[in-house]
Amino acid sequence: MMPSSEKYKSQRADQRRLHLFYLAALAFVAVLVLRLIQIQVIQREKYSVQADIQYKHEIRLNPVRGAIYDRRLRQLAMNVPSVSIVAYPRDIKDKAATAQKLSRVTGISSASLAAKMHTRKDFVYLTRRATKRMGLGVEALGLKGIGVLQESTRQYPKGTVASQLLGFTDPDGRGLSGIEAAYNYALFGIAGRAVMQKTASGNRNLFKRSEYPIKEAKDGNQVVLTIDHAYQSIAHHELRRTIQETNADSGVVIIMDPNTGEVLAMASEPSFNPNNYGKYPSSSYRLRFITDIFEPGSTFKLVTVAGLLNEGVYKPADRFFCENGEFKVAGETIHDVHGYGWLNLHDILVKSSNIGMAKSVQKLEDKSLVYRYARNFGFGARTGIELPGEVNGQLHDMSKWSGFTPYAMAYGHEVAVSPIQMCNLFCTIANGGVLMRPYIVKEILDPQGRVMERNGSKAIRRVIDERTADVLKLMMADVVKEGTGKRAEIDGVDVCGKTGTARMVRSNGGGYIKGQYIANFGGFLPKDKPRLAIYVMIDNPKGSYLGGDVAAPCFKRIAQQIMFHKGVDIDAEEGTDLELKFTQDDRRVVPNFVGYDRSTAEKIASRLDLDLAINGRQGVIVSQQPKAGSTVNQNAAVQLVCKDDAEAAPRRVVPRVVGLPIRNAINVLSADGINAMVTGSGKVVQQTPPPGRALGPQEQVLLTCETSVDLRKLLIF
Amino acid sequence: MLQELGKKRMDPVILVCVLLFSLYSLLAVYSATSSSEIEQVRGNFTKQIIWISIGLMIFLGLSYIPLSVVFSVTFAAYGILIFMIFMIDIFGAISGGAQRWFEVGGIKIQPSEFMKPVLVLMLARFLSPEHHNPNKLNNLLLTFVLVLAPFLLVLKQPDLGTSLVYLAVVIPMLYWRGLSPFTIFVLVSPFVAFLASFNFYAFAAAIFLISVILYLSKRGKWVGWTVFLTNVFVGTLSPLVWNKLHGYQQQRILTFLGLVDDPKGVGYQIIQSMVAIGSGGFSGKGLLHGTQTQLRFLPAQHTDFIFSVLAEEWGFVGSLVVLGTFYVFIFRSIKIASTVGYNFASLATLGLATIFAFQVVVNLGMTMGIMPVTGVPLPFISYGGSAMLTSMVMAGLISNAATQRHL
Repeated sequence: MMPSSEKYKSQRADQRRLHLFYLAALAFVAVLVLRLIQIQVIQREKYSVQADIQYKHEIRLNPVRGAIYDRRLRQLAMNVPSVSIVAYPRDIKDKAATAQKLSRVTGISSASLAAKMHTRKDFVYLTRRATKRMGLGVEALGLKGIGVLQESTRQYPKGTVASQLLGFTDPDGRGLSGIEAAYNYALFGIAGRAVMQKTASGNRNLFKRSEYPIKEAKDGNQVVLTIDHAYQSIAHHELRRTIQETNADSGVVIIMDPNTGEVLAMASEPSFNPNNYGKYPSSSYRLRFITDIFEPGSTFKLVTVAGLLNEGVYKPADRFFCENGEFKVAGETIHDVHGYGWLNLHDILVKSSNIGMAKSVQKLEDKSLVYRYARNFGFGARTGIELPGEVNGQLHDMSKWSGFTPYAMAYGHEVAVSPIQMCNLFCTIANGGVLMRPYIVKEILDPQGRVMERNGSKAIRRVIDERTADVLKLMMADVVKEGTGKRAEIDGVDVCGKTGTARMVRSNGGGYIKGQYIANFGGFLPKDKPRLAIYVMIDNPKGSYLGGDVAAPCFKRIAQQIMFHKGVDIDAEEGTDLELKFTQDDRRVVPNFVGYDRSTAEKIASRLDLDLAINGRQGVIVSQQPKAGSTVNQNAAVQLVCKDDAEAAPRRVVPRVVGLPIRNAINVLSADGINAMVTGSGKVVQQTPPPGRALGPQEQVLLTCETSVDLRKLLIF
Repeated sequence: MLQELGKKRMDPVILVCVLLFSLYSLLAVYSATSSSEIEQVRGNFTKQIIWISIGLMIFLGLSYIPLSVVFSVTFAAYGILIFMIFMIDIFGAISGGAQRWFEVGGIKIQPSEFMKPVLVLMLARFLSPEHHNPNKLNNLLLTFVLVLAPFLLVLKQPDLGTSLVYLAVVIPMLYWRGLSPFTIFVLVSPFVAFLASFNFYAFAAAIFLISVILYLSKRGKWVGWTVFLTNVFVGTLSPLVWNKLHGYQQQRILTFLGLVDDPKGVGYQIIQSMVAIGSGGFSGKGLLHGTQTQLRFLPAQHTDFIFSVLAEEWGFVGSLVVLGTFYVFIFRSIKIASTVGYNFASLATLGLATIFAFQVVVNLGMTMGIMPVTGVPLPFISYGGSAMLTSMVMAGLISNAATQRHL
């Protein structure tokens, strides 16, 4: 064996071994690198998520929910600071001892506290909506794993008034019903968030890295309603009273401004207290004024008459034979409460004859006339009011009609309507024939009070001519003066109205429930320049069930109180709503205080958030600085000089007499010991000083009167 | 003398790698300790600086020490360390607690760490003579006695990770010295049979493979049948013995081997490690910004799981840089082993490179969830005085071999 070849062989073997080692090293590195690629590149999302779950703890920063105001910025829904006591069970070592200490401060039994702490969850509420005082007490204990969260609780200072309208929120502040639900998007605001980090041992710190800046919560916007709380309150109490007196099941009152479509009040009974809604049946949450449908009966005759007059088919004086109370047509029999012989169209409406109505449509070539007018008045379709759950009602398409349908529809049968649709019918006639969109949200303000969105009145279409409306008004005034609506008559005001009594339709649609009725009455006033349209619906009254007996008196009391109740309307000078606004730069327009008594001045000032500096004790404001109409900063006080009127007889505040016939106006004023100076004759169109002002001892009220054109003449042709 | 030193040039690759490792270690240990709530853990960074400084001096010193010195102290060092480990075992048995170190002046010394290079030197010394034939049975048995002595003593502590490191160097060093591949096959095949025996199909496949290799090797009937029957014996016996054991005994063994998947313990560590590495992503979260590290979800982060800290904060790029440095270092060491003139130095360098490679693969594999948790630290990077000094000693010996080859 040659040594050299031996050496060569050994060298070759060395080379092989060396390469095997290199290869092994490379293989190991390759495995590790491939694994790294798998974990760090391909699956990095998966592991990032796992890491986030471990250390990230996102905390919600709750925004403050916006307030809801009435048209005069009275708070209807607001937030009161409260606290929640919370536990982080993992951080609590001795749960029993912690619960015992907490129990002493909170008054909650330690057993129930301990039960709540025994959970696998990271976080648990021990109690919510607690007082700040309790929160301070808990904080003073300094217990590990127990926290106090500052929150706010929704409160409704007006209680049951307007409850369905406002609705309510869940404990987390999400609107569940009414305006709270419909405008939750605006009221809620935008939640903020802060990312907390957890360490492996469970401590929490606010995250300090710039990737997770704290996003502050944006507080909710505020909603201003067209509702006037004073009106709402009157409607609420009068509806309650009527339901109690008649032992009815439920009822609805709607008050609207017929010229604009603004809803001034919307009451529904039974009602509930939104501060405590859980204790009331859920049926009391219902917004009956938009969700309940019923067969309207005679109030719907207005649609028929409006259609006939507007198309020029008949004049109010055209006569029909009313068959003495029983009329067979299209296989059905129509009855009247009282039998009549010949009646003209005017009297048919005033006396509310079903047969007369059926007769008036019997000879029509165009059977769809009532249907078309009903559509145009907005029946069978949602009004579009900004509340959740509105229904269409039912207005059957002509293809589904029987031979009797045109007659039934003429006196308000075989249709289903909602109270808001009915109220809007009266509004349309009142304002001269234009269908307005009813609305309830006036403005949306941002948290600082700047106007974000303003709703105006919106005319949908003209339904009848102004002249037709005027004729209808006269007929409706006679309904109240001499017809079925007599109990709605108010001394000194021309009230237009129409009664209705409908049998209750079975919920399955098959026929009527015997002995159950819906009494309703709608109307507006004053006749010539209507400012209020009021609609009352009472469901299943016991005893007398006629609309004129049940609903009309309710209407009257509401209207009376609104028109004459002193203090309700302290600044309701015709057309001049005080502009009660937050303004962007905190500047305020100074209103006129001169002539008002001290307490009224203070009321006005507090609504405007103005400070007053009053010189003098009791009495009437005789001068002010700065003058009315100038602007001041919010924190600058308005100087008032109050003249002591010790010598004056009892304090005399000017009542509202605009719209009254002169004789009534003088009576109203003299009842308060005020002398009047009158110019002109007829009705009062203007009064100085305006209502709500306190009068000096020697002062008297100047009344300007005008005779309105008597449209009764129209009846002749 | 000085002239001689001047002629000796240190291997620049090894030097740069060691300096880089020191840098990685400082950054990673700082990141892993600074956020700790325990003051003692935070103090570990300062200690690590000291260990690295001392280690670097040892590295430089060993690079230039004459090979004869190393050669001559090998026996004594091996003997002393065996004795120390033995004493620790005895003491641990008496006190009833598991122990791996003894304390001198407040400093914990872990002899089993220093045993790593010493065992390699010992084996190198035994295998290096020209006339030594590694394929002879006597030599083979003696080699295994040298390894099994520290292996069993350390396994007893119990420290599976370190004892496995001892075992890992034997076969590569024997192969390097010229052990025939067939002998390696004979040595390794019973382990394969043992591992495969718990699954019938795996065992059948293993036995088939072993039979094919035996047939192709043409070593004759006796050898073939002996090896074959040994494997069948091991394979059939081990499940029987296993099933005879009580449940708690099985559990103990599995836990000892790191094969028990308990989410609170070992499994939890691996999951946390993989979450840390994976969430680091491509470019990492940035130094001191690793959430899993800084919020202390990652266990043993300055010791066994130090690589997860790097991977989380430096990302895939950083991981590749660290891994790359190790690869260059080990590759270079193997190359040095192949070019150095002396058998002793060549074998020692190869053994040391094997230890580094084994520890890197086992440690990184563990952090990435492809190896069981055995408690092997990452050389140069993990916190720990004994481990750091051992790594530096080993690097110094490799550097020494590189310096010697130019003579």
